[in-house]
Amino acid sequence: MHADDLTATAELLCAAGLLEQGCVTPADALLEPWARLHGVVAAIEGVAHVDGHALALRLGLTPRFPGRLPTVFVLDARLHGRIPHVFQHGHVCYQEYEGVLLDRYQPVAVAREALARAVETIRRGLTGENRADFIEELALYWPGAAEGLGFFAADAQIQPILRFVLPWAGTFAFVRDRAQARELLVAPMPLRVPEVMAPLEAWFDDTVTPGLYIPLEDVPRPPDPFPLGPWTRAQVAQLIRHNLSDGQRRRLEQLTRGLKTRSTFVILRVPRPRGGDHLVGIRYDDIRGAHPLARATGSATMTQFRVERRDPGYLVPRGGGEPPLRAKRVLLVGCGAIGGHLAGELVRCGVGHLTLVDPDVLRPENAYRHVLGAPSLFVLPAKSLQLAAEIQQRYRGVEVSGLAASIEDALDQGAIDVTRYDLVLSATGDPNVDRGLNERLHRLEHRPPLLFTWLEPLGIGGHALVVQRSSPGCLDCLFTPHPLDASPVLTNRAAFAAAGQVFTRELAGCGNAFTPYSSLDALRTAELAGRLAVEVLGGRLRETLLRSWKGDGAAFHAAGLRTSPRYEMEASALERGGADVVAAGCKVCGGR
Amino acid sequence: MTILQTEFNKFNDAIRLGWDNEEARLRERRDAVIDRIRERMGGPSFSHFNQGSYELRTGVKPVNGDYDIDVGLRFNTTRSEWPDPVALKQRVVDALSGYKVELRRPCVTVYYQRRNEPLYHVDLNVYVPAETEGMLHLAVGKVGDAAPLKEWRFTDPLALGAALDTTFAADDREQCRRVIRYLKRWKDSNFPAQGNAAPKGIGLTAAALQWFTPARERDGVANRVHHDDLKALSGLVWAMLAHATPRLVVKLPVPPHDDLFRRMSEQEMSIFVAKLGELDEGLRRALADADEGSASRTLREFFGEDFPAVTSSPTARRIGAIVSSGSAG
Repeated sequence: MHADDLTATAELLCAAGLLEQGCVTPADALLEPWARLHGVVAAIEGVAHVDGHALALRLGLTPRFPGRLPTVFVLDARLHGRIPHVFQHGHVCYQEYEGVLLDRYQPVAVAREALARAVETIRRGLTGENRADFIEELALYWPGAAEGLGFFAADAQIQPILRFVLPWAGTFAFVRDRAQARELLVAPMPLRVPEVMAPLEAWFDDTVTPGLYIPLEDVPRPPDPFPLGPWTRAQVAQLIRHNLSDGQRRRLEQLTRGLKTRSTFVILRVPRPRGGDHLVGIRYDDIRGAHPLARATGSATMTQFRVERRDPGYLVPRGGGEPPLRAKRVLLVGCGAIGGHLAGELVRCGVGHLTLVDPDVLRPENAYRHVLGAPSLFVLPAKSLQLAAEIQQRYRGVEVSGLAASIEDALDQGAIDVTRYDLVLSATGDPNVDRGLNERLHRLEHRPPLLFTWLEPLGIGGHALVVQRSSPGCLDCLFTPHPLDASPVLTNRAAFAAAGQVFTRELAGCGNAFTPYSSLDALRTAELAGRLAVEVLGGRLRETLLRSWKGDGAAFHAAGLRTSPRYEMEASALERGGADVVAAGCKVCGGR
Repeated sequence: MTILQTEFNKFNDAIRLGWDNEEARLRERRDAVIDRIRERMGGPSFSHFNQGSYELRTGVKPVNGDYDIDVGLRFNTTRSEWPDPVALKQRVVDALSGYKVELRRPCVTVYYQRRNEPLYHVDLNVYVPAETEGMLHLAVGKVGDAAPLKEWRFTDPLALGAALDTTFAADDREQCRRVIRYLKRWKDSNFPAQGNAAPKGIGLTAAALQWFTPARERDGVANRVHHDDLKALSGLVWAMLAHATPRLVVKLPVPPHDDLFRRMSEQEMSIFVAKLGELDEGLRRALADADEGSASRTLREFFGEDFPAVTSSPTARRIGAIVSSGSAG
């Protein structure tokens, strides 16, 4: 909205009686910092009655109003920072913008409701009802700048941690130990030879500072009065000591004994009343005498700072992943178009350990359907190794390893022990490899769930089958004709393509045959398999189950290919999946 | 447990009258006969229609080589104009002079022979319309019959086909037809062709209409339904035996509602029921047999050599060991 129009809107709001003694804020006031900071170009001010008090308020409009919320300010400076959600310049944070839908055709109604919510926020602050919100939003109230990235696992134990300078980021990194620091330092290095490693180790030694990670158990009450601006050493010490268990207190005393450095730091974990937690930091410099948190005399300067969290324990749930999957180990066989997408998605879902097995190198022909794109012009590592390195670099704290071998060789040579995994997932798309794997694993007494995924040509569909010990059926059941089938042929019963057709194409001569499908087909199949994998790993699915997605068939039919009776089934039923995979007479599982 | 569906399918292919071979020749004979009657008879006019197993599509190749086709001739006249049904049949016989033709009690039969062996015969059923829409009167009786044996019998020759169509859904109907064919071949292989010793084909058909239950299984993955003919046939034979108390009475489900096995003597009936019992026992034995080879040999005892003997293992019978997978990853 244009500034003139906004002024007109402001007049309209005044006329609507939103505030007592309401008037339009003079133009020169709109040049002050409060207005510039919040992009306010028009405002009204007046009085509202809150819990018996008459409070002067201001309602500011930005050019995007009413497509954006108006800003509300408390003009009484004594309240600034005194009650939760009232910040600098009296800015009242009465509503998160995320997830809000505004009635863009009713500016007066939007402003009236915004004001009502702001007044309610102030009222709860004045009565002390929302005092816990200081803790709920501690990171917002914690003074100081962001000083680094936290990579260590923020768990329940008080422990020593380290801080060092990340050379290329120009910021601090907070890590569990030297090994984790080394992992971060070498990540961008193409070669890990001693010539590269030695200077990095030296850099670490030069910049490292020991510190402590202290997870508070619970903070039932915020300090009273709540510190406005920088806290004192005593206030910080009190917050820590009042919110530790006896055991933690003893451990803290042990760990603060005999401090030898002049500088140290503490990263505090503060649980939020409504779930989740904050990490906030305290830096101590010029330490003389004992550790500033020890029960002994000494002096130090104290600076508060904020931490940007990079630990998977925080990032995984924030990204919609499942924290319990951190402990799960997945063996992914096949790093092609489906496997490439799957590897990344499994990690993003929270899987903490991934082993990738594929002997092939990335081929330029598949650049437009592989997650890694075109191969490098210089080196051609196997897809499994390249993919593992890519994921490892993007997702710290996840264990990803690659093995450039066929699964048959890896098993024959003992390079892989499948019983060490919680799920074996095959995305080779090669039914012969998959059937071999199915038979091999079926013989094992303690075999993990086995998930096969593959797609069919020209966007006709894709499938994911999970085979689990607790219910009958296996992959070979799909290749076992129904006993009553009067004309049995060798085919996959799950196929959408009718049996007896040829689907591969050739761009050149021998060895160039390929199956036509797109990256989107692979992505959709990977999604189907990924969701199934997460359900299995999460323990929510314990039966053998086949799920499929089917495409519109336009390209498939246009190519003169025929679909099977299965393709006629409802798409929703196919995606929901069927457990009736088992076939009597299956040579691997015997239909049991 | 044995299934042998592949063998039953082959057996069905071997015994069924196909459009492209025997039936085509039968059609030619039929058309020649009808053209001849139209040319020579000089009224009343008529229209013709197929009936019997030809119309029901339950026909089987005869063991002795004597193929037959049932044709209905619907004359545009009335009972009152032809009080003697045999007189009208005689006009048909007269029109066919030069053919080997016989005026039999239910119909007029035209024979084609080679060296005195019957090759084909065409049964001509003579009808006049009944007062009820769609119903007919069949001319019954032969020359020399006493008056009570000559009659215009009220009937609906197409009702059996209509009943088959309405009783079962498409694939089940086909299984019913196959099972009827199996029974008819069993009848041809196990009973003398002459006289009333053999159960009538129409009787077996009506029994199937009454007691056949489809046997099938759905493959939920492939979204296909597979039929189990051995089980369906065994079920039908069991049901027929259960109703033989002691005579098996199967009535035409439409007027005149005759018992279709009424002409069998007590002795003929008891032989029929005994053989049905043997068939029932044989089918059950085959069903329970774990060995497909011996199960197929059991079935060949009842159905003859058109039922294929299983000699190789089932895996070897599957075709196409190298096929296009259509899978990728």
